[in-house]
Amino acid sequence: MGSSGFSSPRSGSFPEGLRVLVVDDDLTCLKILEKMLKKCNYKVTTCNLTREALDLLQERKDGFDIVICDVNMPDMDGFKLLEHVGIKMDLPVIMMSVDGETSRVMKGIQHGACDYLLKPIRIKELQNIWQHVVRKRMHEARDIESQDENQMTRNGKEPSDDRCSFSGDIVSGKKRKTVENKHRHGEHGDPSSEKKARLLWNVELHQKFMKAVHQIGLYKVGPKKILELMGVPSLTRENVASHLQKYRLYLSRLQKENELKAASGGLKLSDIYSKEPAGNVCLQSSMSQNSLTVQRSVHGHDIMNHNHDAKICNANVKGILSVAAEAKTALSTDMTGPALSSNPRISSSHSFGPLHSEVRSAPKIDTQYSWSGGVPSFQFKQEIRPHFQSEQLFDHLPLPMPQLQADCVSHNSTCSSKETDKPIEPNINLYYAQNRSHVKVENTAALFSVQPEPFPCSVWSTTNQGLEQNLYDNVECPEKNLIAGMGSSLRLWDEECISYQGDFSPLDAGGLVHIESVDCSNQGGLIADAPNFHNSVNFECDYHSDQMGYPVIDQGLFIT
Amino acid sequence: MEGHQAACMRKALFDQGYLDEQFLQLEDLQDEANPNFVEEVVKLYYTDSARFIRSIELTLDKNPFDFEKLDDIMHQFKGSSSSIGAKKVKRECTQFQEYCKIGNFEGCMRTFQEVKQEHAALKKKLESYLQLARQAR
Repeated sequence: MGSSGFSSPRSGSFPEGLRVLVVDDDLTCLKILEKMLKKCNYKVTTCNLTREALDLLQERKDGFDIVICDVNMPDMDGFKLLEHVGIKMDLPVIMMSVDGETSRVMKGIQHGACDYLLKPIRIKELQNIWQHVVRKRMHEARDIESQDENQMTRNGKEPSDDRCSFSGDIVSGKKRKTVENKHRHGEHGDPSSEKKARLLWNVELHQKFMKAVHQIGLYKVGPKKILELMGVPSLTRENVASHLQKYRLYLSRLQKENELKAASGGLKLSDIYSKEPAGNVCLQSSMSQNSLTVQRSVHGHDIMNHNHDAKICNANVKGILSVAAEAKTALSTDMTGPALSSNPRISSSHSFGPLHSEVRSAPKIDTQYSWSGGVPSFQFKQEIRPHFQSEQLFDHLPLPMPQLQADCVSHNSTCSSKETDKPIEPNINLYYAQNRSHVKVENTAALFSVQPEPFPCSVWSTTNQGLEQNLYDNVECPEKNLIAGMGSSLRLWDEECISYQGDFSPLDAGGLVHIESVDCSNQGGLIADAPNFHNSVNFECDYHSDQMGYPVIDQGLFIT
Repeated sequence: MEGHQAACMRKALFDQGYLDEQFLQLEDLQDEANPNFVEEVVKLYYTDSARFIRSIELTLDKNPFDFEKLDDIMHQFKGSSSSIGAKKVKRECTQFQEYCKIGNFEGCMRTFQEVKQEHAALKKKLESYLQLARQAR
């Protein structure tokens, strides 16, 4: 496998020899799929754990052409794997599940799945999976081409010629693409280090981004077009792509939240939450979710006690604090505005530190975010650095999420008491006090999140467009923070972030949030409902922490 | 002769709704490379599903009742069952999930008994059928 795939002769025509990685915890299904794929003349590798699958993908970076994964995996939500693989590794991913509910399928698509198959799967459905590989390569080729146009400094590999010749050259095309990517990364610097420069999606950039999106139309938009319209030379297509995805996720989250709110005042969310995917969605969209997550994580005591969390948190906190200073300057938008006002209590009383750690630490959360704990502490640390801003924010914001604010306050107080053990706290407060602006980093998150705090629902009820505006305008929303916060804690994304650098920073929050939600839902469903969230440890399992956990994070982000 | 008997048994399984077209998919996968594929898969399924059943039993015993968890486990069990074409089992699983959704404990308990029954009945029938089929080969 691996690179040998390129070199090994492909007898017969494409798509024979397509290298497929199948991930399913159900051994019966796995065996059947394996046999079916073999019958299609594909090269099959099976895994029954997501962690294992991710490791395999990491080891053999170019070893697979396509991944098929079940949505319900025990160690990590299939959607997370999907995002991770789809974005970071740029491989087409097909989701499978017994559940064919539209919302679930939608979720899969929004997370970037190329296709969503319903179990039981028939061999016919597997015969044509190669189309996703081809399609993806075509898109990549196109994007890279346009990227080339936009980026003068790019290396001169002309992807178009090679890439477009799919017939039998998919492998080589892909290889080239990979090389291209490497070159591209090289331009910006070593992916792990340079891109890391973290393109901060500041307000201006986001504004440009939004403008471009509106111009084209959210559903017709593609990273390439946005990039062109934005006209920012240092921006890469990848930056835009990840930002776009986060944005979309954010919107869908909000939408769901809106629907939920409209429907049952948020209680429905619990339904959603009960099912992982649903939960995820909810989590993302609503601040309440955030708060929930926060709650879970926040429960300082529980969380703090988690070794790993604590480590991470502390690490993060430190990172954040140090960064904070820089962040201040970086931040341009003034999040402080409403958001701040909305969470006055947050800033004042709560020790962010603990929350932060909590959020991060929420053991479950951490693991959840970090691709099922694979990355755990390590990742967090890394991630947090860049985002320290967000983290700080989290720290700052004990919990309150706009909606939750009311509840949060009380929680906050609870939390704060718990926070005592967090050392960072003092720092954070200081930071917080000094620098609202730094929230900016989170801005992107904020942008994505619902802004107004008074009632997140209200925000949600607006149209997406409106939301965008709101978000953009009201960066302060705690949710934003949450998002941002989540991002930081979720740094699992960081791996990606690192490669995507700037894109992820704020986005991470969004993405992370996403992840969180996923996890949360598993836990016990993130409760979209703000009030419920506060109170219920929806995430129950791991965190049983206060709601504060997440809300704080949100707050923190927006603290700017 | 066994061949004929096996064919009759097989037909009955389909006619009586024990198996659905997914089972045909399994049969199609059986070839010279894997002459006992169907049997292997069925064995694997029964080993796996025993786990699910145990898990559900344990969860049903717990207090307070965790509908969500039950639904989750059943969801997986259903997925597994559907992949071999266990039609009746799958139907009972769906029913069980319905009761979970509405939080009906009695309904869950009752349906779970049905699930176990169908699961065991199918097992017996498949074992006899597969044995006959193997002999007939």
